[in-house]
Amino acid sequence: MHLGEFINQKSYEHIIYRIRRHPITFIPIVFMFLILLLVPFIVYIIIGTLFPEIMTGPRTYPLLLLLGSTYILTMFLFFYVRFIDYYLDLWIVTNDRIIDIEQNNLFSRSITELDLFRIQDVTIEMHGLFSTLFDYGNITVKTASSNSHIIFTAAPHPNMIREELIKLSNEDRKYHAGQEEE
Amino acid sequence: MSIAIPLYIFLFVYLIFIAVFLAFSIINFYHIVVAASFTIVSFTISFFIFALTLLTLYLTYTLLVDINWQQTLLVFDTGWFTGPSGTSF
Repeated sequence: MHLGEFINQKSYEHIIYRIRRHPITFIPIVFMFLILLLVPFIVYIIIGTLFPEIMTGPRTYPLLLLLGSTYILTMFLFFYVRFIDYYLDLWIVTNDRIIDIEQNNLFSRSITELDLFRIQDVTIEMHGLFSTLFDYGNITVKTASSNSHIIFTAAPHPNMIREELIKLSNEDRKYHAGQEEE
Repeated sequence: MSIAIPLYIFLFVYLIFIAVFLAFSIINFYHIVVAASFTIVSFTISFFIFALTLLTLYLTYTLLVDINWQQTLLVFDTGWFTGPSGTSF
């Protein structure tokens, strides 16, 4: 499916930014995946050293092999689910609105929209060493209505995006003011 | 009294797991497609996962191909609770 179809892109609308969380935020999951993948090999070495007869037993050998295979496949699935969770969290900025697509888990997704001309306040938050080093942070976009806001979580180059959002919001406000005068 | 189950029961359980695994993997891939996120990054990760899955399944198959699945595994025996002379612990 094309992204324009997914967000019901209007005829005059064009996509300016597609923002995902900074790739550095996915690195801990990759590390965890690699460490968890090593577990069966460590267990194999320990059992092979302490109880070698278990590894060669006609009944225990196939059972351990099935168990190891199940574990490794579960880790692949775990990694894939975490990747989907990371990659399908997407913020789309067009010349008309901001669309926040959040993949909460495998069977839960929420989509929020906010008109650019309603933006009242754009705040960025950068906490910690990694956030400063790799230039990523949270961007909170608020409207006059207190219950309507979007948070771009761990977005790359937050300051540049904040400036762009303010600029786009001003342009959209001028466009809407012009339409009202007509 | 003793209870023994054949090894192929464990193979059936493993095959059920494979079916669930494949179902979840396909749902994940379906999410990528319907959420308009099928890019070079998502394609690479999906390819990597599916290739590793096929490799794991192939290795499991080659290591288990000569196993006699008709063997039985003792899961319960009253002898475990009695001493060598037949007296209860």
